[in-house]
Amino acid sequence: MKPLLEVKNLHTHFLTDDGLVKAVGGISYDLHEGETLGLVGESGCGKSVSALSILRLIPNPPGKVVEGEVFFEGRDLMKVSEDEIREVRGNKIAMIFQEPMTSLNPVLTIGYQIAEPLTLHKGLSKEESWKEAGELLTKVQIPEAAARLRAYPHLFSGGMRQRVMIAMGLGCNPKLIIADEPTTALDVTIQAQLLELMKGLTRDFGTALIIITHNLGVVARYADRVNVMYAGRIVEKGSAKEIYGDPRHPYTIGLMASVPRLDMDVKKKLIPIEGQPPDLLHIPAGCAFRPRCNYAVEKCQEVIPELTTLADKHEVACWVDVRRN
Amino acid sequence: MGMREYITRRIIYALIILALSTVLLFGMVRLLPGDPIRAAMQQNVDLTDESIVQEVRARYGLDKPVHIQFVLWLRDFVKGDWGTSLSSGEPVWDMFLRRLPVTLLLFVGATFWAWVIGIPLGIFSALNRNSYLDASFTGISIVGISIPVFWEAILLIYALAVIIKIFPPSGYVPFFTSPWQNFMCIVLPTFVMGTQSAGSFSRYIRSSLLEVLGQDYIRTARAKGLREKAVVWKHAAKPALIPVVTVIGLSWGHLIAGSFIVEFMFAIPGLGRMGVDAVFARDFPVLQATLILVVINVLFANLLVDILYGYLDPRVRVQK
Repeated sequence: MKPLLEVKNLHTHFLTDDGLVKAVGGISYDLHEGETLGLVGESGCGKSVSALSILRLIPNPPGKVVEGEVFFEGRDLMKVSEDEIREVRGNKIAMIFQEPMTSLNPVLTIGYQIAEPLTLHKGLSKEESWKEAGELLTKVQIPEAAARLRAYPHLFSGGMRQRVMIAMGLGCNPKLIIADEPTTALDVTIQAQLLELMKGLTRDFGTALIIITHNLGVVARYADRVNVMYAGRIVEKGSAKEIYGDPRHPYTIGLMASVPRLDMDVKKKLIPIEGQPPDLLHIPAGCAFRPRCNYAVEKCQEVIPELTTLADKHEVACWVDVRRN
Repeated sequence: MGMREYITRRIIYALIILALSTVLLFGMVRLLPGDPIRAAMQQNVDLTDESIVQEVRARYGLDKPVHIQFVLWLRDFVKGDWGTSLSSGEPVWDMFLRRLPVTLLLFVGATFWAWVIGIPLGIFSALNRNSYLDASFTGISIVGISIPVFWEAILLIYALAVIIKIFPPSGYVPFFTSPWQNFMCIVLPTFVMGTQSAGSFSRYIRSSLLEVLGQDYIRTARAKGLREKAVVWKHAAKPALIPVVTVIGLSWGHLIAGSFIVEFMFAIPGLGRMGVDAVFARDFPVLQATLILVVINVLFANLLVDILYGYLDPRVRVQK
């Protein structure tokens, strides 16, 4: 079956006053209908930029997708016209952003903001779209939805605003929802509720989901497949089971060792990854992770390792077979 | 807190400030050097005769202690009896009514210029940030803000009334005498009065719109698939306008200062001219009334800004 989304060799650069920032340095992945993909990595590793690039939402200047193709339903989104990409945004592909407090317009009512894509893409009248907005709010479990439509965002808590964002994203029955750190700004109990809600709704609607997060727990529970990103590149790809059960990249291994797991011996210490993620202005030659890597060999300094297939769909970009050490 | 309570509260604040400023202004006017009676009477009265001066002083109540004068003045002022001019003998209220339409016309004209020049310039600059036109508009705005009013007036009179004789250099023809001549009379003065506001509007609108366009919710709007036009006008315009409303309100307050100079330079018989003349003539009743009007004007503009804020920004309404 043909994948819903095919990202091929995507490069996004930012031209800043300090120099060229290669935020995304050539990433490729597929996503099938109804699948949930986790995009994992530290802050500043290019997760969000790579997602925004898919919808051409990178502010230009300073940012620009300089190379690569993104096939969605047979078309390369990087090449279609401005009108065509607008037809995709909010309609076929919806985004849920990470800051619920600032991602809703403070001077427009909740109802207007949810109804807007419905009138835009589905051609509904104002009354119809408001009615549907009310139903969407009910779906994301906001009580007294109809009355709340006239409220402004400042009256809503962070969790409720994020529910509004989800309702807004689901409105046009998109094929794909990209959730950029959807729960980072919320407290833990609300996080779980929202993820369950999102997972449930996307399952009901058959929507594919990309969850961008630095929270490995979220990925373990909700993602079918996982891409681990480091310094603008994917360093390991695989099913959630493979990434958690059999991580092969030293960075992935480091990530796993640095978070507590319920199945872990409680006396075992967490091991942080030493050092800082690289400055994207000065990515070191060779493997970007080498300065922090315990397994590094000489070759890592010179040549960037490409992704190589280990088994089925499990791929890793490393010169070293970590199992031998 | 509802809108009604919010507005009531604002009006009460305005009244308190007005009461305090009447005290201040009354005192300040009394502190002006020079004797008003002598200044007003010097043409037709023998000022060496101290008894006549005393009599006139008593007639205007100027022989009483200052605080008594204030109470009497305030009582009459509230009743609409603003006293009579020391120099012309005309009731101040009548002078005010005759001159108010002239100044209001100038205000409206100046605001018109400020809006039609400042707002499009600001929006265009923000949407075409760092283009050559943006840079030149920035230059024009800064010239507009910094050019002294009297200097701009002289330049314009010289260019458009002396060299190229399009507009009259000065003077005023009432609208009902000749609408066309009235129009020609106010083009230059209103332009001069509006220049500074136009410059500052364009700067504020540019920065405010740019700030809003960088907000997360604008990215959300774009991610919905809205056209850039809809993003700017539906999602960015209103929040960008909120800080600009303050500037527009303040500029309305500043206009009165402009009108003092402009009406004087263009020989226009408005309230500003009345104020300037009153200063030179030490005409206490007229000067006092003019200054109170300046205060009322500024307070009114601020009140309007506060109320507009309430309508534009839903968050203001709930703040305690």
